[in-house]
Amino acid sequence: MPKIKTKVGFRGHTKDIDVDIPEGEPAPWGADAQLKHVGTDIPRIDGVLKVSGRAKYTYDQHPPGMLWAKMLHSPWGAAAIKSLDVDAARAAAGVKGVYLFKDKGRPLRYHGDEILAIAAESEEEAEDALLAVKIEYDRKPVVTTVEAALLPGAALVFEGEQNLKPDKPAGDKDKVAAAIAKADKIVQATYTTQVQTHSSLETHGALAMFGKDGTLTVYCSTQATFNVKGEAVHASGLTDDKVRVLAEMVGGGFGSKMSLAPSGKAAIELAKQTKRPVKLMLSREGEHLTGGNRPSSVQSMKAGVAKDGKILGFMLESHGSGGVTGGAGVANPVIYQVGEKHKSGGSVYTNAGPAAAMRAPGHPQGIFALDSFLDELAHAIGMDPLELRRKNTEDEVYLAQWELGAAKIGWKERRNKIPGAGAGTVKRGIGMASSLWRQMGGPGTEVDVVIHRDGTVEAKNGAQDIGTGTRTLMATIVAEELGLSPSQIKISLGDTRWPIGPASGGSKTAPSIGPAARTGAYQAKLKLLALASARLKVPVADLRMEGGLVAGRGQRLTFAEACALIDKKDGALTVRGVRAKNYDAYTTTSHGCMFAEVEVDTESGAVRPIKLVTVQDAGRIIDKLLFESQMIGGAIQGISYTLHEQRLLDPHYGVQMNADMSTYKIAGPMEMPEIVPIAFDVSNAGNNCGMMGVGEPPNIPTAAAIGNAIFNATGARVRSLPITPDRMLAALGARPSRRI
Amino acid sequence: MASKTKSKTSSRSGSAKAVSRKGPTGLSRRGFMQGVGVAGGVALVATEDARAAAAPKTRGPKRAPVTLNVNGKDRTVTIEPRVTLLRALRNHMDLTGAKEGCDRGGCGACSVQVDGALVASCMMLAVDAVGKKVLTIEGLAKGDQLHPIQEAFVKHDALQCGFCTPGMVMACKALLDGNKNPTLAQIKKGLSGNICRCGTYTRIFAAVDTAAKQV
Repeated sequence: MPKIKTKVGFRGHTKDIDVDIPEGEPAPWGADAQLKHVGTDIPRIDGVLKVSGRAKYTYDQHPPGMLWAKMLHSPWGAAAIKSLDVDAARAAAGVKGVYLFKDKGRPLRYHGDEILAIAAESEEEAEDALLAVKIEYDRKPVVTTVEAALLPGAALVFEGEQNLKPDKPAGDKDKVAAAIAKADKIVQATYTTQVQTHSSLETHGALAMFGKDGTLTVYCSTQATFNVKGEAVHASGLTDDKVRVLAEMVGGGFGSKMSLAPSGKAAIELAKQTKRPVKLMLSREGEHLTGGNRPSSVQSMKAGVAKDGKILGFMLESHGSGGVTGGAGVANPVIYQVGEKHKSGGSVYTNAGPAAAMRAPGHPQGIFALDSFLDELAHAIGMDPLELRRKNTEDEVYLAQWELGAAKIGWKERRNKIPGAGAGTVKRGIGMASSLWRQMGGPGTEVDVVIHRDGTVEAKNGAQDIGTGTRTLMATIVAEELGLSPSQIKISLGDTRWPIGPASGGSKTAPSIGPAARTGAYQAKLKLLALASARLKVPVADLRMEGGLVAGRGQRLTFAEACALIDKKDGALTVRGVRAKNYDAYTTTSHGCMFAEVEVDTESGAVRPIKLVTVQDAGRIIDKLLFESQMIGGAIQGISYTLHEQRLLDPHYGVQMNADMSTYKIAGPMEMPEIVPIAFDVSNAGNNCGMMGVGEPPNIPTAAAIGNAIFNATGARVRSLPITPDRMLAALGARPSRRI
Repeated sequence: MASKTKSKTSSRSGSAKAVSRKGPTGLSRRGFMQGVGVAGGVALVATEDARAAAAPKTRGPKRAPVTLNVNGKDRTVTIEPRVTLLRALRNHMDLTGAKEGCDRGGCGACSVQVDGALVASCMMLAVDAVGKKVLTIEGLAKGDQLHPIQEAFVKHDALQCGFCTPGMVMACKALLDGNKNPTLAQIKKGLSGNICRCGTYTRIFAAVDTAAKQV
């Protein structure tokens, strides 16, 4: 493996490192690389399709002969099906097929649990047929919260299984106790966070079509085409080569669309039954109930801090509920050095819809608690909260980002030195929090790069672009390598006929596909240069491709002229770029922080964010415009999580009371503050583009940053999300020296 | 539950009226509203013109031909009277730009203009749009030439997954139809019926500002 010296780091903090580059890989773009497109603002290449309404999502597919399917969900949090009669539904106008998920006697464990699906000639007829289903339920007791589920004698979500699934405790309790004993101040606090539903605007769903040739084509609103393909193979009983999955456009996912899902399974079963194409998209209610959610959390923290701000010991007990699924852990402790630490807790089953990974799973809830708690520690010893953070990390990227963010928000000038000190009833304050994410992408992804004889260039991968901009990143990287413009590259994504690609989870899509695309483009370039070299009589080593030209030693060809040298018989140069293993990187962490200014009306309890400054790195920035869009989107979803969203379950029946878009409040235009994204470029090596993914991390710090700003504004600490006016007023009332 | 009966004829409240450039005047509805659709037990009241022209006759409940003027062209579809404007556009005309985000007028993804007013097309029956001019996202660009709002959306990256985008663009158009030079507060209010889950609002505000300078 060749060793290459490359420059890594960030503004004013660069250094040279040696990296081992696998054979066939281009040298990584170092900090001093002169790049034409990478790092600039490149508009989304599928933007025109999307703004013109011509982009076709799974939900928009309508092949000839298609049937419309609808799902019947459990109306109760826990029940058994006492009787079920679908004869009338089967006989209803237009009905062509009925698929049962659960028959008589089967338990239903949450509001929304799938019972059956019906396919009919029209959407309205399918809806009518659901009303014709004769079904009786035996209602059972429910548990809807962590607290209720852990009470002695609580109803069990799964028969014969405890509601609590404890995590293996980590750390040494005695060591923590000894460390805390040496502290100047000991602080304890408990934080709770709510359940948030993903609420992708395109609901889960799929269109399944069996062909006369024994094939199955599935359009699926998914962020994991290849996962879905595997499941579709299983559901159909066909072999791998007979199944094709498409997801050309996906209306959001945020972690919830990693599988075929019951909707897709029902579409396949009904298509099999009826021998017609069948499309089943969940209703908005169904999406809220079953489409996935971020688990709740109850986090109790205890720590000891020295007068100089050093945290000596940290204990965390954390429970959360992801409904009928587990996986409700939080990421704590992260980012900061907290001395000796101990962590315990577990996931708790409740009668509620299944959780799913949601944008930085475990982190927004974890950081809300951790970064709020750090502010409480700082307050306890009378230290500037930012100074306390500086005392507990040595990471130079965080230190640099905090400095940038603090300057932009006016930390020194605008922050209340004494929390709540501002005059009047409407008070302003400033707070901050940080984020961390670790994801470099990796092998298992391949990209076909095709240079056609007519000068057109294509790049293809079977994975999906769920709105993050994968298409545009691929085009930018391939264009950079070939000396073309991004708009000249045709990108094909979202079709399992193309080479294998990642599921869009953990921010790994971009750093898996991007480097593979660059490798493919680089190797295709070498082939094209060999042809140009023979024509121009200039050695390959002296030829360069830039500005649409192949040139060197005073000789040149246009890109099109060079492509015309491709063998007529082949018609094109095709190279499969294979994602190499990661090599030494400057950092394997994405760092981020957010600084918030808020206004709190202490009479109404209303909290209004005024300004959010969000700073984020994720290796080298490929497209600054789209990178900043991810940052802004993360901040906005964060505002929504902090102040508005919560799934409300009725504790007696386990029924969600706000399963729509009007009463499940998602932040809208009226709630928007000024948002200032500071995209922080780090030349990272690690892969040939030096890139990481930026989907998850910007969503992490918002809640803690706003919560801390609220404390700075009012002197009142709200330890529960969402921070609704009633909670804000309660916290203000809890102040010992409340004076409004 | 997934099923319900539609009996609504509302345009979006507040902002719809605020941004409506002109009312339904100046259009001849003679000959369009010849019948009364019966849906969900609510009789749709025919216009005076139509009443004068002929005694109302019942349309439905079975499928019946309905002619809608969409993007400047008359199109006849055979639908049940209970079919919403959104479903008539999407399921019967293959105009799939407008999306169903919530089916309750709560998200704005289905926004279209009806006689210039911004309407949640999931909340309007198709038969209620008879005799009116329906403008959908597909009718905004002139061939390959995007509308300035659409251009500004691309330029500012005012979209991510794109599912809310057609509705957003239509809401922006209705806003700018009624206010050529909106302030930031007016932009926020004008778009307040539309939800973007990816979180592109501030980009959209910038796009509206850019577009306002061009339309």
